[in-house]
Amino acid sequence: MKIRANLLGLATIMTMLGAMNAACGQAPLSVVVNPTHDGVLPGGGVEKAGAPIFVLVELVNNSGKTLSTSQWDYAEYYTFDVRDADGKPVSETDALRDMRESLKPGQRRSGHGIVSQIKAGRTWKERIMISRYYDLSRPGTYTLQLERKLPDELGNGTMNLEKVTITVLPADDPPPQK
Amino acid sequence: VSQRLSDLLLLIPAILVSLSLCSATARAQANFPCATGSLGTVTISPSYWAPGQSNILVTLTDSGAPFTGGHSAASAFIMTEASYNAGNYTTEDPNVAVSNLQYVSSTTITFLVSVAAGAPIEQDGFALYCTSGHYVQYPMFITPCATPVTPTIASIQPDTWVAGANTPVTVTGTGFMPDGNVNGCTTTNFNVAELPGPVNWSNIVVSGPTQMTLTVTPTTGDPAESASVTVSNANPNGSGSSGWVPSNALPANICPAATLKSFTSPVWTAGQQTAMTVTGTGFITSAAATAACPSTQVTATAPDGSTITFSSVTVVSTTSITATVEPASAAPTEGATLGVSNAPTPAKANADILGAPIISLNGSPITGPNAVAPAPVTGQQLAFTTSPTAATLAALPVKLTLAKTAPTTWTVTGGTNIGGYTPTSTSYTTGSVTAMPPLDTPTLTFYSVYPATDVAVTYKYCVSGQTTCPEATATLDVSGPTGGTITTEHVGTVGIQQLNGQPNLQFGTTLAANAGVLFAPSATAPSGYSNNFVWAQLISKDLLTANGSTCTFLADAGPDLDTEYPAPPVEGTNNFGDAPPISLLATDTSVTRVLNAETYLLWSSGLTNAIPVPIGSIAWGFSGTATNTGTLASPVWGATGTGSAGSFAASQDVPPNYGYPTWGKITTITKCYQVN
Repeated sequence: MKIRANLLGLATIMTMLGAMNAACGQAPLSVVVNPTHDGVLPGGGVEKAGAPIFVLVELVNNSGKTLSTSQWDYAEYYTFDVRDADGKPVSETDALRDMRESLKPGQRRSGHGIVSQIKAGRTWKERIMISRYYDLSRPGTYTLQLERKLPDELGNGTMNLEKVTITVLPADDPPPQK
Repeated sequence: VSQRLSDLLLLIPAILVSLSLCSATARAQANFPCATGSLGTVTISPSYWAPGQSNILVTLTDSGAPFTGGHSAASAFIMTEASYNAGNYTTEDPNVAVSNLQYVSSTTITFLVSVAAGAPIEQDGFALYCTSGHYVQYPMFITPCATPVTPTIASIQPDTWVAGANTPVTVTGTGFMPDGNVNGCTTTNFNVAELPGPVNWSNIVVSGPTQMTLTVTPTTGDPAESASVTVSNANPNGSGSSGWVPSNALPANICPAATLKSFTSPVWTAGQQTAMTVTGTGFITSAAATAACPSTQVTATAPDGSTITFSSVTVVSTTSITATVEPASAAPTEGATLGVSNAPTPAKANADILGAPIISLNGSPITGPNAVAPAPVTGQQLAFTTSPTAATLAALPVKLTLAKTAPTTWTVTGGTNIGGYTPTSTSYTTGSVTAMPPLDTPTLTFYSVYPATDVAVTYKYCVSGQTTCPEATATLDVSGPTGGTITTEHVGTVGIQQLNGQPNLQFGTTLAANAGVLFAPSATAPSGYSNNFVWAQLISKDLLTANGSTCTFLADAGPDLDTEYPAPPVEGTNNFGDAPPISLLATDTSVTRVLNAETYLLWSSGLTNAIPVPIGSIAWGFSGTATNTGTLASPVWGATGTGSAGSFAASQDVPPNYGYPTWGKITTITKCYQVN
């Protein structure tokens, strides 16, 4: 795994995992994770208390083959470790507990069932509302560590994404810049 | 005269009397006995000689009575300015010829002087030598002004002056002597013949031989009267009345001063007439008016230069005028200055003009003189601001406030307009349409949902204490996507599929091409825009019955948002697909699911702060049952059921949702996970 941090200290990290692609010398799947203010573009990292908090994961298929990923139930692929400024785990929400419970063997699952086929060389994005799964309502600085399940075509492993830092301001502070 | 003396003091050094001994080389033609031992007070007249002037009879007097007979043949001695300044009193000016020296008396001699035509303009000297060695130098001037030009005046503009007022005046004519004593000529003077109240003048500038400017100030309180204006050039060889050469005289008029004290109705509406009464002093009634001093007029000016018209002006008395004022219909809201025609000092801004409001859309004016044509698109945030603002009104000469009892109002006619649509890509717990905001504030923000022409946006503001409320209307043509539709690309079948190692009852399969439903969007984007489609899906029914136990996923009546907004398209396309599965547990013998959904297509302009606008929707659903015909240990699953997708339904311009998908919460299907 190779990690590269950007100068702004944001967690813009290229994670390369798995064996190098023999043809192009790249990792089969590269991943960049960033905070996102608008849920569409990378950026932000500073939000007001009570605002929804998202991260945006951009994945590039360098594997040379088509990869499968859920069209919109991809949150199930992730596990999270969210800590406050003191390094203490942040309280989980019922939504996370429910999702985690539903993923246990023998539990009934639903969803949308549709899977995207990501062709070689294509990039796709997955946005995750972290605040749906963790209580980030109190002002402070939070560190997010995400782990994603690999696409089935790349085996059964997981990959760690670079840490992301989110700052939550009091609700009456000036709104963050987009 | 005082001016002339002052000039002389500046130009002529004091008579210098020196008692030093004559040098041995001094010329002796003009030596005099100087019986008293010294010279007395010496005068020479005339002392200004013009180039080209011949045989000037010059009289020289000396109170010391130095003259005796017998010197009549001797010549005087005229030296050059350079020689005089250098203290060398023996260099004779070659341009000045002295002749015919005559003895008149012991105190007086005369002689003739002729000056060459090309003589330079300078200050010469004259020396008298006494045999005792005493001498006197007396300066004389060679200047064209020695023979003064008679000036003329052709015009005086203006030639009517208000008592007490400072009136800039321009006098044109000929023969003016410019500033700076050019050629040693005293600057031309300005004169007004004395009146009962004298006229003062100042700031005289004689810029050339044909023009002078000055400021004329008749005495405050002067009545209507005439004045006689002349200019004059100095005659350096003259004195008293002969010291100046006057021009012809031109008449000028002095009108009595008026004062403006107050007036009624100081707030005027553009394009409307307002009657007023002006109170003051010194008004000239029609009965008292003359050609030079007509009856007092009411005047008004506005900063933008627009015309303010007065009608029905009547000078009722020297203290009262009635009139009707009407600012130009296009005048903006601004301060104005009302005055009277013969006021000595200009009035300060003392009135208000209430103009039609300026409506701006997203920062650009769309009414008024600088209006730009708006080109809004559906879903674009239409943020209207207006002027005048409360601050603008408060800054007017007559401070105003927006009225509360006759409120500022907006009227929007045409189009389908809403205050907003609440969900965003990061905040979608609920989704609703916001009604139009209050219409009684100076700003208004809304969104047009559907293309429309001639959407009229009218803003009217009212000011406390005023009965008229100016208004302006902007007309908008709102463009937007047309021909939008959803095409059903595929409807799947209900079956048993293996997902994540488990059997599932599923509508369609995981591949988009074989999904339960696969929809494709299309629309013609308005000019200048491209299609940016947004999907949203609402679940209106999701009923699960497992092994005889039923769970309704949706516990309330309203449709819920399916998972997130916007709903993600199939990766790499604009299409939307869904293939809802439900996993079958090892303990299941029969599982039935009934799901009804509606998929909405919206279009976004992509503009900042824009909201998407609805295109239409398709209702779809499925009903299926999975039955285990094997055993729990060795299940054999079979499925029955069907799914379908309805026809495309174009979004309807109907309140309260105007075709938008709305919801109260996000689906919470996990509550049914434990049904088994």
